[in-house]
Amino acid sequence: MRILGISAHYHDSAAGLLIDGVPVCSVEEERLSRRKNDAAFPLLAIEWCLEQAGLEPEALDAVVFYEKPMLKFDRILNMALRTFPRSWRSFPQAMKNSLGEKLWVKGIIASQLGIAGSKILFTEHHQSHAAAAFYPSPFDEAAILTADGVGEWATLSVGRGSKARGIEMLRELRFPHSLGMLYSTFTAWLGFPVNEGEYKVMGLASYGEPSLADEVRRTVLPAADGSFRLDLDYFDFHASAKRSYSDKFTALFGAPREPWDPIDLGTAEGKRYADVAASVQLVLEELLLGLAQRLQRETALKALCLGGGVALNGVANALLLRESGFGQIYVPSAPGDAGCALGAALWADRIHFRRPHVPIPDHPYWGPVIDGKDLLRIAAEDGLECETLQDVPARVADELARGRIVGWMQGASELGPRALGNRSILAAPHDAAMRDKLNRGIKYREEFRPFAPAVPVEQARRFFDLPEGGERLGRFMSGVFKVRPEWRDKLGAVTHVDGTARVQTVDRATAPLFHALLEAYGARTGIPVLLNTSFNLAGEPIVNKAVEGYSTFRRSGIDVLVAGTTLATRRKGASDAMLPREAT
Amino acid sequence: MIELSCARCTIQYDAPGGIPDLRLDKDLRTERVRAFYKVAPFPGYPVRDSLSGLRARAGRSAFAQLLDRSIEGDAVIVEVGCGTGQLSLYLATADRIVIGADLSRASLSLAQDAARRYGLSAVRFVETDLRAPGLQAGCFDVVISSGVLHHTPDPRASFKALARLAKPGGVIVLGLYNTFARIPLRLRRAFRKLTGVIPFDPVLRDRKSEPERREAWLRDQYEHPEEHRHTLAEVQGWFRENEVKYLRAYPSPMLADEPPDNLFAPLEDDWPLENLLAQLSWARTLGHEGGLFIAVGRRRL
Repeated sequence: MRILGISAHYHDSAAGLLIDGVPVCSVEEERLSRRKNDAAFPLLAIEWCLEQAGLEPEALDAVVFYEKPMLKFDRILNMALRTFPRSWRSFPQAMKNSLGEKLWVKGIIASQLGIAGSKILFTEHHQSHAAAAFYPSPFDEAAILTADGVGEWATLSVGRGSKARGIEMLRELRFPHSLGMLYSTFTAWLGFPVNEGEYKVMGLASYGEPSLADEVRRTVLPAADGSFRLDLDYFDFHASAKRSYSDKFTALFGAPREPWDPIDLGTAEGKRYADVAASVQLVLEELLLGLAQRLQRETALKALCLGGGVALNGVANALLLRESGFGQIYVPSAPGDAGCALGAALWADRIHFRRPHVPIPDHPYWGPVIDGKDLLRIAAEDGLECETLQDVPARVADELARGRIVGWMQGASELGPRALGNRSILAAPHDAAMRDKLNRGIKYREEFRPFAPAVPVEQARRFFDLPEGGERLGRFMSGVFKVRPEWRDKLGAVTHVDGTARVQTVDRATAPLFHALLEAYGARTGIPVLLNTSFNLAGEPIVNKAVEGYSTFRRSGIDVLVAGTTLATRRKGASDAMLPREAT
Repeated sequence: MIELSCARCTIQYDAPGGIPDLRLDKDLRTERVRAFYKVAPFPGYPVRDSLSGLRARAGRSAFAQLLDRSIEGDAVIVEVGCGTGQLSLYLATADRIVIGADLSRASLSLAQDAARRYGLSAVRFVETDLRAPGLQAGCFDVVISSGVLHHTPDPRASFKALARLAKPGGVIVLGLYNTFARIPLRLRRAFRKLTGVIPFDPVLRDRKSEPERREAWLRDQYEHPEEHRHTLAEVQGWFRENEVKYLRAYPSPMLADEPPDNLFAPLEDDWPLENLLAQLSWARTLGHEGGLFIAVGRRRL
């Protein structure tokens, strides 16, 4: 049975293909269209998936869309009515947004793919999240918790999954009460772009004290059933398209931050932003922990699967692993909407068509495969000589040990927002100066955002303080853990201000070449840890093909580019030759 | 102090404070403009500023980001009229070499200090007059001059000097006040002359809480001693005279065109009437920002 899953129209569109119950491939539209967070109907991703499997659209047995547009429209209409007359300003825009192609998804799929409408199915948003989080997990039975901004109505749902019996959803929390919206409102107030700036809030939180946690708690009211309600007096996202916080919110927390002014942590103002970030992070953790503990008591299960955008919060994930009572936690590599493409297909396969579960390969590499020969050709056209390597890990480890920054492209690209060793920029992790060099030449991140380390899973405990189950949670970089104090100086570029790191534990079976590279680097330096950050420039999607890798390499301070067995070295910077350094 | 000498002749230049002074002759009108910029170099740099802070501020300008994306990683760039050097520093990434040239030493000092603070070594600032810039002609991949030529006594002659700096095949990025897009501001300025009040200036309104930026806008837009305005057709004429191929304008002068991915890709179409209509519409879209538009050309091989 061939099922195509599609997610689109909110952020991070994607497509994924499932054949006989096993994922074949999946990719975000942005990687192909080269538009960051592309939310358009993922035509390129669909075409690529079909081509990958050698299928014509007619050969598909079903096409599944990851949410129910009518139900979503129902929510938008309802909210407009309930918040009238405040909503009248945003209403025309909301209608224009939802009445266009977003509502007639069925027609679009049918016409774009040329298939019968009867083959097109819809799952609910949180069902897609739940399936994406549970079925690829290594557990036969697990509790499921999904949380994001909003889908149709649900913003948070809990359930239990069994590979034999399917998924049973127990309860859901409905819009406008939403953990994701709570966090996003603070993201917006802190002047970061919503849906991608949440990482920044988390990074900033480490610099602050949760001194305003009581104020944040005031905006969240506990509910009798153990969940919570947002105090809507503080929020405006349900009534306005422009602003997500209300005047009462700004009266409590002060004026929002001007997005273009950098945060200066040396000032009282900057410190206050960090304190607010720390406070909302703490409250999010408290809420999630309460929900997870209750779910554990209720289900008495040993494992938890987390889905939805909130599951990208590695600090909260690690806390749940330590304290929720679940001994094992699984977060897929793409817990957000991009992962819902495969999630929707899995839900259709296992639940709708009632087909038995088949094991799913446990890795995040579902995207297009890189070809080193492409790099050879592109570089030659640009007049740059490349080398073809016999022993890739050895040679690249040499370069890294010499302090070079390496653009690393291998195999199939990762599904999800994190580079997990196939489309990565790698560097030595020892020195904070390397972090500055990366920031000055390539990534331009704010100082308060950390870089992540990668380590062979067998050696992770030597450097990092992992709780039980930490190795598994770290495989897709889903948890933030303490760096052991004795190693913090030697891992300066990847240790955050609070002594933590978002570790990737690299498994030999899942990523053999990356694992070998880490070992080779360890053999040279004694520390088999590398700094691993996504291979992209600020504001651009992660590179996909060799041509994008090469263009990024040429426009940045990356010293060495590796694709497959091909290695390109940067021409000696012309700047060194032309400008005499001042004798000061 | 560095002493520089011309590679072709024997002229020696001083470089007080590490900023070479390449100016030769000094005429009255240029001196007046120079004095204007001496008072308050703008925009300044925040205290404890960093490179990521500069990048964050650049997020405000879609044009700066587009320009950065369009320039090769190893280009040699000159920005003529760089002011306090924010754009020059922003563009000084990868293997690029950037020369920031300006008339005002006070501004250049701020730029030089920031470069040192950020640890950028491939950017150099020089004090010069763009009509006799003292920079080697035909040596730059990209020549940028935004918001400058319309403040020189003879913009057309200034462009001639500017165009010579580009390599054959090099790109010229020129930002000028547009004749039509400037109309709203001129109306406001005339109204101010009569009544002393500026009606509906959105930039002043936005900057209410930032007196320094507000004052800078006021000076720059309402009190500048030298100002000219130009149509796209006029600029295309300058391009032709100087063997420069017109690539595109920004914003796009094609009606209903999408923002480009590459600023240096030639426009698909170039029709005088469409250009004119687009410029009229700029009075609405660009009018509130002072009416600056960008024209891009490539020097013929």
